[in-house]
Amino acid sequence: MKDKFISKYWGYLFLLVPIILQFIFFYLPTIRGVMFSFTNWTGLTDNYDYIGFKNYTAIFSDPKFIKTIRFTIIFTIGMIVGQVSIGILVARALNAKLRTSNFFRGIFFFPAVIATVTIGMIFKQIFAYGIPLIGETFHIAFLKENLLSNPKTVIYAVLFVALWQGIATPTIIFLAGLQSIPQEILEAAAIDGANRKQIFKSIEIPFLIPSISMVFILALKGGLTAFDNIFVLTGGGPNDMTATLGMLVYNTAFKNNSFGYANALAVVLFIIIVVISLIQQAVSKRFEV
Amino acid sequence: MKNKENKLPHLLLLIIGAILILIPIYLTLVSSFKDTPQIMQHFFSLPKHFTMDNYTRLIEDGIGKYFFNSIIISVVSIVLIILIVPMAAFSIARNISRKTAFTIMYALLILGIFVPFQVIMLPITNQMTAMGLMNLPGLILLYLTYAIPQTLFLYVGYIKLSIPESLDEAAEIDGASKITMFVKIAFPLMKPMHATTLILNALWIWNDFLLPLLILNRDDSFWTLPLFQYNYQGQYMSDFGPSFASYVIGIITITIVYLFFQRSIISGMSNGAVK
Repeated sequence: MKDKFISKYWGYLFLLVPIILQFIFFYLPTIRGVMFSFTNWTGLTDNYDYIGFKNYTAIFSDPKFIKTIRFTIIFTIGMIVGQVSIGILVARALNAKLRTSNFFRGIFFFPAVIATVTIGMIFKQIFAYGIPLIGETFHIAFLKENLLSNPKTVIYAVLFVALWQGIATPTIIFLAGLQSIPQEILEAAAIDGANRKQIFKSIEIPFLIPSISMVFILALKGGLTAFDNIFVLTGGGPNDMTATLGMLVYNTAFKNNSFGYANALAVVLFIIIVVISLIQQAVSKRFEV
Repeated sequence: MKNKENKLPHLLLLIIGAILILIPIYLTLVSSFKDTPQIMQHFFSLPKHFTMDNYTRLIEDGIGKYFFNSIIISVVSIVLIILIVPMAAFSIARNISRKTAFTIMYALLILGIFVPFQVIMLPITNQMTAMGLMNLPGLILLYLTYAIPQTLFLYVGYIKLSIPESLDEAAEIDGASKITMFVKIAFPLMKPMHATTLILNALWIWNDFLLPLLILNRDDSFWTLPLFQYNYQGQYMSDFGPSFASYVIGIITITIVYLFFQRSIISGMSNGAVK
């Protein structure tokens, strides 16, 4: 009897635990999060009221949100451009069959294994004590102060730290893309007398389109939801200049105690990611080989 | 030979890049052996008087406990992931073409890939508090849940490609049930996927900061290593020698794993990225 039951329903039994976990710890909070986004809950007490779309209409006139969107867009574009361009450059260099390629590949991938939050803390110290020392020694005025507290340089500093780690995975993805180019095609191109530029434009780039598309999505998601490194580097400062959407959600909920409003921000963040991903999918389909 | 590529620019790029990557690592390492005044005055040089004080202070401040918490969380989560997800993936891979119910369940299970964590970050914190799960078991349950979508997706793809149904039929003729077939034949055949899963999730869970910050920050006996580093840095703002030592400890541990699994890490990363 028991054997018969198992042999008939094993498929469902095997899925039982994951389904239960997803419902309790993923679907339930997602639904509750959307629900809370329509309330004025502070998160501190147990009572709240439903206030319709008020949180959502408030978002678009919130100067903090607009500031955050501005930085998030700059940061995300910086991440996408940096990861794609530097990633391809480094991947091509690694693919050039130097004797030391394996050694360099190990080094370039290394930042990906370190905790993002640790990298943020290390660079925070470098910006506080290392860079000013260089400024003093070589009399370079703008390096003498902490680049993280200077509104003119803070964005570049944050972007540099994010790319320091962010280059690793794209490089590996692009390297795999370059290595997937059939050798015959490259040989045929060489026989036809194609130069490096032509090979890059007409062979390598088309073969890299799927990789570019993948790196784009990863960089986009990473940029829009960035938290760990910026949280410890600047905490969003100076003057909220480097607050990302992810940090705004966190701070609104836990520092300003506007739990309902923070959930509305999170929902908006989700919609932005979905919309851009869909546009990106449609665009990259057009360019695929 | 005129068209032979000039390798010098490539080599230069790699050298400059490698220097940029290695400088912060070098600074962290040498700073961990200097006392704080030395770090401030001679940030870039090798230690003038080499000291282990930073490390002994960390041990006195209980880094052992936080290190142990991180190990427990990573190991238990990964063992549970590798026990539970392959079963589910096997069930999906075998039944999806026969019953619509499995298509729906599969969709429900991998939908999480597309939802940014920020959307559930607040309600999950609130829910975990209400459930009394602001502790290590609670965090492990969350890692298990949030690992499912991507891991399941990878396993299902692997099973469809590498473990043919004819194996099931052969096992059935020999009188084995589906469960025996899974335990004795399919599960061992998924070894390469187990390695990928182990690495992807080890990197994520060992290095994760936001989930421990949300779930474990209130009670300092539950802190993980990154959470300890963060709080320690905040507490000893002007005396940061020991902080550098704590970064070294975190980096060295994961580097050992990295060197051990270097090959699978890189293939795992490129497999894992294709989602």
